[in-house]
Amino acid sequence: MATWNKGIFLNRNRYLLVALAGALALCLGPAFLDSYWLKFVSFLIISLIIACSWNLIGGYCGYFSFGHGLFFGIGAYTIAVAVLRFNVNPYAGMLLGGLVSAALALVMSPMLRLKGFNFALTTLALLEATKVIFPKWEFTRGMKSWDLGWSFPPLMSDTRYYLLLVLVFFLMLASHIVFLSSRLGFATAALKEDELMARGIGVNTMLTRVCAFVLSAFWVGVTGAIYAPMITYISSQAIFSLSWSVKPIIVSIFGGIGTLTGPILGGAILIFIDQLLWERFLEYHTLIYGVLLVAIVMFLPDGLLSHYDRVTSMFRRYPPAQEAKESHASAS
Amino acid sequence: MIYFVLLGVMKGAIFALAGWGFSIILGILGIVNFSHGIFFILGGYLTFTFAKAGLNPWLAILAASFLVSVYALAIQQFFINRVMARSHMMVLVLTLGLAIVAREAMGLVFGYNERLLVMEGVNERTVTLFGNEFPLLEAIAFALSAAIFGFFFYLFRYTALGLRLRAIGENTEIARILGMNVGRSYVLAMLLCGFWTGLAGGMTIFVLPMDLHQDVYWTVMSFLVVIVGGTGNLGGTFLSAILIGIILFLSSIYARGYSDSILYVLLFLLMLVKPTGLFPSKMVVEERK
Repeated sequence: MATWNKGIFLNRNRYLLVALAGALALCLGPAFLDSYWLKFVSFLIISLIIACSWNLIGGYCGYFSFGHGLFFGIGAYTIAVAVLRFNVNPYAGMLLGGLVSAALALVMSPMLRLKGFNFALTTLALLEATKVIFPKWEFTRGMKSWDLGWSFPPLMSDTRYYLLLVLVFFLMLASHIVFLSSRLGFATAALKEDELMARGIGVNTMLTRVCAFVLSAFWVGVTGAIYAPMITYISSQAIFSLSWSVKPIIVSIFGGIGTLTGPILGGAILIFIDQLLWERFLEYHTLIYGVLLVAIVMFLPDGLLSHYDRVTSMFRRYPPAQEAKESHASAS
Repeated sequence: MIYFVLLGVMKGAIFALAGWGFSIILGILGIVNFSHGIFFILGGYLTFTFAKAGLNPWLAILAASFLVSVYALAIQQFFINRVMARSHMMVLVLTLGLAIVAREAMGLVFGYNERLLVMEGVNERTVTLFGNEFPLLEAIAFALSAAIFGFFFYLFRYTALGLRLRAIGENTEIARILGMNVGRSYVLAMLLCGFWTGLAGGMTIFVLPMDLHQDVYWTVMSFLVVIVGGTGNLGGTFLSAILIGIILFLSSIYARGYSDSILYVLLFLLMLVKPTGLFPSKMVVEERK
């Protein structure tokens, strides 16, 4: 399996530069894209942010969270309550969305003691519980007592949302790169390989997991808070829908789970396909999506990037330059 | 109050019926089957179709259960077996995909309407137990799950086959080295799971209206029953199913509309306090990657 972007061997400055260049290139988007494609790329970036964030806890740490949509929805509801009920500045509301999500993740962090399936189920259960509670609780139900959701007045232009999303995308990538190349990043790698061993050599596994979980939740929350005013109406059923939790998993697996670029690559391709299917075969859209999911797990379980690595490793210099020099030196 | 608790117990029996198969698959194959809810729904829909076609309702349930077990086996042979060797977590995603495909395909075949099978002389019949009247079907479901519990307990505790299945659940590699046929045991486990879950679905369609989007609910409920009871503990599964039935029934009376949320929050709290479940088995199946 590929190691070139799995964290431990990550070249921090180079990756940060690439991410910055990518973000700057995306900033040019509004100059070229019409309003349809601008919206499409905005949604694409939202999915990518959630996928990358899921990948941090699910891919790098090995904790399959089935309720990552929870943080997305919490972010969306936070900005709705903050802006519409308390007239908070929208930008502050977006930040608040992230902070509330991160705080929730911190509260949920004892859950990280659970392993594997139990963790997946508990996150899913919390998502479902929230989905039922929010439309019933007056504080979150809506502005008026009969509302079952929140509708936003137009706050900003589409271009502004797009640029905000690009900014969040870049900041999230940068934070992941810094995290993964730090001491904690090494700890996640050790934790995923063998938790007992990692603890044995003195890694604070709980701290590592909590940091990854909170960081992961924070950016998902911010994204939810940008998404809500962007689509102008949110309801509990739509925002806490299971598909927000499942899509990032599919995207990460398709691209390459536990790699930095995998979810981005996988997401870009899959969401494009998804959009095409949506346009052409609305009726069979979900069915085709399911078939795609099965096919990915059956035939591409390591993701697209593993194939990229296989091809590049075939064209690796042989014998490696370093070794060739050494053998030459010993011969002479 | 006591009457409500007893009705809750009977509701819980349906969860137990749905949970057995899940428990077996988690215990022996070591995987979480997200298509489990589909087995349940498929059992119900097939029973509905057969019964509407004029088959005796009891025969319809049996025929449906049999077909569901065939479906379960097909999934296992063609899909799960190939992914299982790689990662058990991947199987979760795979079966989720299979559930989506199956749900959509069933939607095309059966339509998306809600189904409730109403049969003359079956639905409204009641039995009198302890001086209270109970719906006949729920009483049968309860008796059936108690009987199945007894059957499984006997099978796993006292027979050579049960010993073999437990051994495979505990350590597949060593079981293989000792000459057990792991593949055939998996087939058996999957057939059993499909049959009982289909049966549970077939019973439920008389009692509760069923629609295609409930499969996630039933998967989560079966999962919940097994996790709360403690993985690898059949008695625990049975008890926790009954407990959940009581909680759900009482909360649906005293806190209308919040019953599922209450249950999920309780699950969350339980998982924080006791991650191994209420009744952890002495030989908890080791958590696998």
